[in-house]
Amino acid sequence: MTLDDRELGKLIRLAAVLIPGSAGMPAIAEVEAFAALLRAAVKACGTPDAELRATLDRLPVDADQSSVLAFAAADPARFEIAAILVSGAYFMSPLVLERLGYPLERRHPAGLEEFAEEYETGVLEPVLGRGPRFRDPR
Amino acid sequence: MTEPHEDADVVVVGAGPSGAVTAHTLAERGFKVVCLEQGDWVNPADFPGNRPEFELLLQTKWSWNPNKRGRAADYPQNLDEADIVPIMFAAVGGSSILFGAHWMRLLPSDFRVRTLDGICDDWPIDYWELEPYYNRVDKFLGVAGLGGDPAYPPQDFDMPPHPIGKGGMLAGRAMNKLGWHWWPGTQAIPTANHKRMAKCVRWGVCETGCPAGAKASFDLGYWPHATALGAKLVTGARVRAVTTDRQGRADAVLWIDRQGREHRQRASAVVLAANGIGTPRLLLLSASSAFPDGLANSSGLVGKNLMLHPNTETIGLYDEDIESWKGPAGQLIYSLEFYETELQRGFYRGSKMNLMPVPGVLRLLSNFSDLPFEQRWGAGLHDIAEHAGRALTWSANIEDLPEATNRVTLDPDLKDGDGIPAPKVRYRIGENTQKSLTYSLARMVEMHEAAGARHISQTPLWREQPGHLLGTARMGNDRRTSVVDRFGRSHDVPNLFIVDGSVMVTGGAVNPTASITALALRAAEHIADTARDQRVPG
Repeated sequence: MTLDDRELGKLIRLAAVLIPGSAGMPAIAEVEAFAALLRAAVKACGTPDAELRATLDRLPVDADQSSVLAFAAADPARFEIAAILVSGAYFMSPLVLERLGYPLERRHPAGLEEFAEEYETGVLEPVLGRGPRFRDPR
Repeated sequence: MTEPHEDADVVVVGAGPSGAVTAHTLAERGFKVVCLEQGDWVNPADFPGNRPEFELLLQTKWSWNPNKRGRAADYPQNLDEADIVPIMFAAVGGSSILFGAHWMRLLPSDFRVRTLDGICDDWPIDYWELEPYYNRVDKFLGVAGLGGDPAYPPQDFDMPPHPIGKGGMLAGRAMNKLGWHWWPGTQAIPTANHKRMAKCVRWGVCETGCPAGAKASFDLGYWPHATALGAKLVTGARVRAVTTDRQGRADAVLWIDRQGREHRQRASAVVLAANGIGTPRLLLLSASSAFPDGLANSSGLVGKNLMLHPNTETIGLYDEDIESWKGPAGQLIYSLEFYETELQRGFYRGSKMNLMPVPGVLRLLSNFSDLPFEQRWGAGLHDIAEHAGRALTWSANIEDLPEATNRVTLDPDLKDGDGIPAPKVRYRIGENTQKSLTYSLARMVEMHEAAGARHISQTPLWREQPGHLLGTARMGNDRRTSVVDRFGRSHDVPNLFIVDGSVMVTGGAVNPTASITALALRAAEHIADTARDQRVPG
């Protein structure tokens, strides 16, 4: 489903209410290409078009704290659909992930000695010290 | 019109782990094997895990729940009377495409629950009979783990274990403080290149398909080797019935292709590997005048005793940097401290617990969806999200006891895309299971507390986990109280075999794929050994 400008505007407004900026985290307006992220979120989410359209229709036009709260209370299932879209879009942003401390490179091959170094700390000694514990029915 | 095909020695229904092992084993022994799979090959490049939007792709398209996913290969399930959702994935490799590859053997006690605890039934085989098959499948797949776990009889692995990471070290030290058993995770995830599989690079998205081809899902771990030996694999082939001849022997399966055409595949033996829901469904669909209650169902037990291993989960948020975006996920560590029956706890049997990282931010947030709006959104959202990368989940896989009322039947109304009756799953959490869930949840909270978690969220029952579908065509020596014999051969139809989790007498509490595939290997070798004279053990 392709979002029109009105639908996009509603979602951005909702996002701004649900995800305000904080000391460490960017506000929606600071997230580069948030509209494109929203479009990608809609595509990925796979919510049936009719369901999504009905959700967008019911979103408050000029969402603020009280109207969003009322929407969430009145229609929690549709609120959940919209909330996943906007939070999903937000947490796709490289800027947001970077601020959370997430590495943008997601492959982390283990070093050859990594487990050996853990083992050599002696962390398993208490477990081994207690000896075999399985029940042998023979 | 039904289209015939060249006869096979053996037709295998389902290309998941047990079907793959069976097809490989029989092809290696020179049998002409045809495997029919209703799903397709999945290209690892299509997996969602390496995309920025991967968590959103899990909402529908890659959901664990086939009812949400609704692909052509999926069949619907009536879950009106089910407390949890039996998850599965129809594809070459089956549900191993989306499994976490926790590779755990049953314990010796699991085969002797009647003898040791006075409940349920003993298996007709014991741990030591299955042990060599465990070893062989481990070696073939390149299972990575650390030998010497005192909770098990001696076992070892060719492939070194994965690092347990900062999270595993933190939790392991906490377990030591509590004096509780734990061990580094054993996984069907290679730590070095192995056959067709690459070395794990810790994307942390094992349960959504490995984008690096570094998990031993059975499309990679077995099928390329089976087809190289001549096994024929037909995808998009939905089997609707097993037919029998006048002597009551299975003679063919009827299957429907994606264009709706019906085919007939004749074979000297039929092997069902369609999982603990698909297999009883097919047996019930195969009712005939000779078998009015369904094929292989003289005991009346087909579909009954469904065990699903309900899960309970706790997520701990930590101040430490524990890099919980790193895989494998997979299990960093596991605990069998509460596995065995201790009657003072007030219930029989127990659970296997495992520690996993929480790589996705949305996954973390979803565990806090029960918070009041003000704590979940606005500034509250950032309070939770700041712990992304610093979250660990302990979850417990509960041994649910076999109960005849937990069962698979055919739904009178619901049909799949080919008009075939869908399964109706009736599954209620029994009293014993509920006590074990509650007990395990409390212990896992203690584990997080001992590790210094700042906040702990609890999910008493995880509705869409796991995909352990067991017990619906149990094995046994007595044809009145079991569906198949100790090798998976039907008591009623001597050339019909079942090799999936349906045959398990009790479920244990460990992830079952290691046991299912060891049983399948053993059954396949028995089929090969006895094929020439169709010898049926007494």
